[in-house]
Amino acid sequence: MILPLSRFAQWCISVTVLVLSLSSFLIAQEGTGEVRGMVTDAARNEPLVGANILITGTTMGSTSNADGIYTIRRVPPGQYTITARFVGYKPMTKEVTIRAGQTVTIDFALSPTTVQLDEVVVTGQGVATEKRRLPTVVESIGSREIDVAPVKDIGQLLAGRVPGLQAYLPSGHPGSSARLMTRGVKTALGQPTPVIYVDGVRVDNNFQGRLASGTGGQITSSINDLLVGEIDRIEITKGGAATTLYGAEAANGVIQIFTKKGVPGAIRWSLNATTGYSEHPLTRIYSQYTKDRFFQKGAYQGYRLAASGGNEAISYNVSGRMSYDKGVMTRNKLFDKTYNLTGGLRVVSSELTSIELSTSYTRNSFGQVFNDNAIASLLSSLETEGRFELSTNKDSLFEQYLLPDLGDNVNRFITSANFTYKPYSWWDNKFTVGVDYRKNEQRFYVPLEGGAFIGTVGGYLFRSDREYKTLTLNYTGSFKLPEVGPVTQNLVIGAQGFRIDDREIRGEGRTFRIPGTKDFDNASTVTAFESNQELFSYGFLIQDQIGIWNRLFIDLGVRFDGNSTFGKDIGIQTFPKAGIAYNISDEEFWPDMIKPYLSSLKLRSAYGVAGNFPPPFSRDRTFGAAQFLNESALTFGNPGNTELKPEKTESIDLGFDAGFLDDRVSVEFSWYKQTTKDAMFNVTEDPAAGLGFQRRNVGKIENKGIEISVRAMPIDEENIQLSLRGSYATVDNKVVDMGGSAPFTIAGFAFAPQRVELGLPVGVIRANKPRLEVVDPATGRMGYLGNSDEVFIGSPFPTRTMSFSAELVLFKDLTISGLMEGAWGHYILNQKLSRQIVNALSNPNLYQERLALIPKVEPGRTPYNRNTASAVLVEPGDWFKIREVSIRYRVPRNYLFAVNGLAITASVRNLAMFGVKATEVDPETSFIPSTAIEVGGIVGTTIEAPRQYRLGIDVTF
Amino acid sequence: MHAKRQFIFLGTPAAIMLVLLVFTLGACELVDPSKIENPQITADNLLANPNGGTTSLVTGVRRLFSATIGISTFIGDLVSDNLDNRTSFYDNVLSFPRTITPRTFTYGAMYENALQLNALADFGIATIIPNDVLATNEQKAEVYFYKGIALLILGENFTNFPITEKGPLVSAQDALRIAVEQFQTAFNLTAQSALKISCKLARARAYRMLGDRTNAAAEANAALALPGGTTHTHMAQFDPANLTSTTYAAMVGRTSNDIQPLPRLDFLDPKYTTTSTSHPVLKAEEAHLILAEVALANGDLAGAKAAMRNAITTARGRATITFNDRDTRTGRPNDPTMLVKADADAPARAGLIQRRGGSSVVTVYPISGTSLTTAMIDTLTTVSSHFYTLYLLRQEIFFLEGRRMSDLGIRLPVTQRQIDGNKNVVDGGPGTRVVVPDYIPPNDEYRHFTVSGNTVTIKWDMNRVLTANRSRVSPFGIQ
Repeated sequence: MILPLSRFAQWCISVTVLVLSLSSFLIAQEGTGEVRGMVTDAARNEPLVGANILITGTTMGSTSNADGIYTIRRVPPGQYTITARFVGYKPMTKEVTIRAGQTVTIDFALSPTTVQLDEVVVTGQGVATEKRRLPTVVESIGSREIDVAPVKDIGQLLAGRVPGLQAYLPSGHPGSSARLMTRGVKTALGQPTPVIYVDGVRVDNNFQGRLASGTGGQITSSINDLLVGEIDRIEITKGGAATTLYGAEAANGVIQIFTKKGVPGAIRWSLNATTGYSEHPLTRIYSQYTKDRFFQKGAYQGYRLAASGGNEAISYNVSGRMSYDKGVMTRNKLFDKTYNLTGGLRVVSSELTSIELSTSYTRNSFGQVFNDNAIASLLSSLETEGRFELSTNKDSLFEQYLLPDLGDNVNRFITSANFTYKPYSWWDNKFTVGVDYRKNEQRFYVPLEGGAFIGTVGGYLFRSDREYKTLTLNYTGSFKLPEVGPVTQNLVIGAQGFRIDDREIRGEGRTFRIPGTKDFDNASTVTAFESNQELFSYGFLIQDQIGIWNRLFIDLGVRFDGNSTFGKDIGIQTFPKAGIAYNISDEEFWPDMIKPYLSSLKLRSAYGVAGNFPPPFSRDRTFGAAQFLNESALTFGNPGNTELKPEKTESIDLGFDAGFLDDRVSVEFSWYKQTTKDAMFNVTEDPAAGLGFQRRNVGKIENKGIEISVRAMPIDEENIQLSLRGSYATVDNKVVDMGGSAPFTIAGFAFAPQRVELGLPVGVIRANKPRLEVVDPATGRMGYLGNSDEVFIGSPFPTRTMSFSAELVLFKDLTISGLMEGAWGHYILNQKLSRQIVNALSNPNLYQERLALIPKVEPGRTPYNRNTASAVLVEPGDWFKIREVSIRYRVPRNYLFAVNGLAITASVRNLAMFGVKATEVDPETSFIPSTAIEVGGIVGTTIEAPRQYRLGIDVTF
Repeated sequence: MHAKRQFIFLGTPAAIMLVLLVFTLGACELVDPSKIENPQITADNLLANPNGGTTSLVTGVRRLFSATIGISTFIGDLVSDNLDNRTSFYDNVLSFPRTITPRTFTYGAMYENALQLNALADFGIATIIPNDVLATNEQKAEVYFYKGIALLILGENFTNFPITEKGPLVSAQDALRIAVEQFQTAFNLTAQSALKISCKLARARAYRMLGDRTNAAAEANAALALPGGTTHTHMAQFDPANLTSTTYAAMVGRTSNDIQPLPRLDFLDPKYTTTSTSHPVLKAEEAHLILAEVALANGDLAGAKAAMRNAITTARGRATITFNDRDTRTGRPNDPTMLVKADADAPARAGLIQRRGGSSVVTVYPISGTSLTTAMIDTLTTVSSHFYTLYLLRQEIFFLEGRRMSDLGIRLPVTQRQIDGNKNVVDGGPGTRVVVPDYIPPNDEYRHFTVSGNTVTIKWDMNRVLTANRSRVSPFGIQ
């Protein structure tokens, strides 16, 4: 009897049949030999730790240990090609003959390069692929750079390090993380954040939940607890053809994080202790009282202990760390405490199979405060209201504001298992299973003695819990097809499924009659809310990587996706891609005389589609049951749309990767155009039906721009090395089709909403601009009569971005590095100014200098106010920041005793900001409405990213 | 050794495949991650459980009724001379009525809540009630009654609007006529005296707006004649945890707002002292005021006097409470010894301003309050003075009930969402522009006042303005 099978069972069967049909018996191995050797930096003659050495066409390989030594055991006799690779160095290949019972020594002296064409990446391809074969750009950041970056989380790490990726901090509050966005905004209602994978497992990349307190405009991010800890490398793709194989969720790009699994060798301990402090720059603070009382220098301490080692069969990396930052607000209100345990294990169980396991537990607890537009915001009250400016009793008011406690605790587990099985040199299978589990509890408590605070009297308790779980199942098989003449083919097939369970609950307790009580048991009334979402996504992919003469590569692929968020009338969705990469400098006709100048050149072009699936249940027509006077009240819910489908972003990429001057200078250039079709817009339903908005796939959004990245090594001597890197990217975003639907508001305020309007960027600010007109026809004199015109201003997110970094290594051991970045070409609504102007208008003792921005009207005319002159609140968002400066001194080994290595690092993060045109705010920050899309564009009274001074010592033994 | 290794290698893939096969056929059902269920009430499961559905429908219309009143009481007073928006997040545009457009964000909830109330009642009448064998006549009566209220609020404050999804525009008069029918249906269904009185009062109010003095007077008298009719109130209730009134939040909570009453109305503020204070929507005073207005339209000054005396007696008979108002009236009159002149030519009156802040306790009128006495009515002589007194009584008795804007003759436009969501509503066409009669002073001048010594002088006495323009103000078409 054939039972009806669920979609998942069908998926399972497909994978099984696939493996069964392609499998066959295996042949046992003869007696074996061994390869070993050392990997060094050719110029400095120093060991390279963590280089990968692989025997081509097998799973056999190893990683160089702390002394640069590697060993590959149990190699069956035969002729082999061995390749050594290390990020930032040219790979080197050597031929070797192995005989049973013998050990062959093969050393590699690698030379640094700025050209990355020989680096191997997996993102977007399913299997490890050299960049030279790729028709798209995949950026990667290696452990050498990651290990020394003075940052806490992935969002901060990415800032300024990836051209075309904007990673800007919405605030300096603990718990918040960078707003990640690649190549503009491809959606009007979703989030612009790329999908993030850790060791092949999809992880939570969301901003704060649906029921949590947005604290007035600063929300927390689950990226904040993706710590920059034991990371081997990160790969970043920017949507389109590069992410087609990720289907209906990858339009915003994919970030893959690979954690460390240890390097073979004796156990090696490393200990880091870092101390320092954080401070607020204070330059953009209005009130002296704020400067004097609100901020503090917050001490920092952090510790990390890690052990790594193993052999070629089993290697491991285990670490524990903790840090405590007291934060820049008085009374440690913005403290940030983090604990983390991470373990990575690689088991090479045979020549054919290997297993990688990784697991990490993070505990984050931090304080929060209200800010921006919150009534309870101390900072906003100090900076924009009369409560403090006019008060004769500031100190007691100040203490009153400090009484409430607000904070969040996060517990997060990420675990993954990757099983690789390579029955033949031409057939590779990889199974991935893993879970990301994140639970956070936000708690806000106003004690009884807090008095009337945000409208509550007699104490108030708020608790919001979010429990997020995602399960990832993945299979990828790759088949190297027989060569036909100059043509090689690598066929990749795969299946992926993931499930998300996102459960939230919020409780509010009011009126605590007995002082000192702090939980719901003691509240006179308790109300609760719940919001649960779940979804399942499944997909299949097939890809053919075709190589011709090993220089021309054609990439063809398609992904088929189903998803529980699609409308009932929508079937499987298809995402195709095609691309070509041409390493023209490898051609015989490439003139020798050019090679010293233009040493390598790859041309590439790609077309691909990636999606963005709707939120769970937005397809359904729903009703609600609102609580009202202890009864259940029927309400209208979502109007429903049975034809709801994913937004599809079609992307065209053209570009080249070039190496100059013997690869001492490299340039990557891309031009892209991404068009999101079927963009989900909030289509207005008739209010006469009692309905609000429904997501419908009616829009079209376009992003286009260029990305240029230049790397150079102008000096590469034994005792002095200088490497430079710069990037510049543009993005021009606009809504090109509204599908006949009305423009709508996605965020902002009544006086200056952020809109979706035809022909304008998503989130453009609509404001009222005072009209200059002829007031005296006789003389032609111009003036203001109080009239305004509606204007649409700017892009809310930067349209031009740059970054520049430099690293100078002196006498091998002293490294000085710096990173700066900048963003411009956009506008922000200055909400701090808005509040000050409103209060200046109503009270002659407040912020009168702010009124100078508002044009004066002719006598007898109604003066402009915040609403009729709201365009004056929209200011250019330009900024440039010196993001990081660090000096690292590694004590030479001959001065050391008892330890293997010792290094001291001093660093400053967010050292300085310049080029700012906005009034008294940090334009990098943004005021985030917790329910709307986060595209930036509004800046309020928040705490900007603090300046962080750190001094750290690293000891290895 | 050799044979054993071969066996292992032959066996490994076979074992993996066996496990996968077993997993596929059996265990997948156990760990199937693809099952998804929407925990919300979907259309399917709502209609699949019809019995008893009317109970949640009735709570639903009650809730929307309160939500509509909670915002309309505020907007109707803010867009009038009753309130001054000093510094607040509420759109200042509302203080300048001629600048209101469909995009003026802050009044939208008033319009859309009323439409939603109408739509939910329609949905219930068409879909839930016919399928619910447990539905009672009392429940049905409430649904019809609240549908009528939705149309009454719309008809009083807007000129043209659709009342069905994608439907044609309906004029305020037509909406009021439909409202009248709904109140009659509810009247016929209910056995409760209180709801019967409410139906009669609501019909009187709708007939007044329709200019039908005969029916307006008849329904007003019928309401008063029912048991309890002379003291009746129909209140919108609030739930401190789940639904509070915007009026409360703005006027008493003063969370982020500084909205102040016109000094001459200071003694009536704050009407609602807690988050759950109910707001009166229909009350016996209105029957008397309608009867007075009909009498004046008929030239019956004695009848008008009698009705106004009744209104004052009823209002003054309402319960009062005392309240410690923390508001300090920053920059506003806050001294009981101060005198208020309704305009430069008006006499200076005492007793209209109370002291607030600190430990000062003020008297609050949660239902009705008035500064007028029956003795003052007795002194009225001219026709104008009768009209003037009637308008002042309406202003004071309906303070913070959202009636003043409509009484001034101002009508709001439908919202931009309405224009966007229905092709029958054309931007620039009927219903989409604010109506501000030309007798309304420019800008926001009707809330301006000056303080000189001990005297507050209000720039415009809007009741005097209304009296001067009574032929345009009165719904009864007087000459």
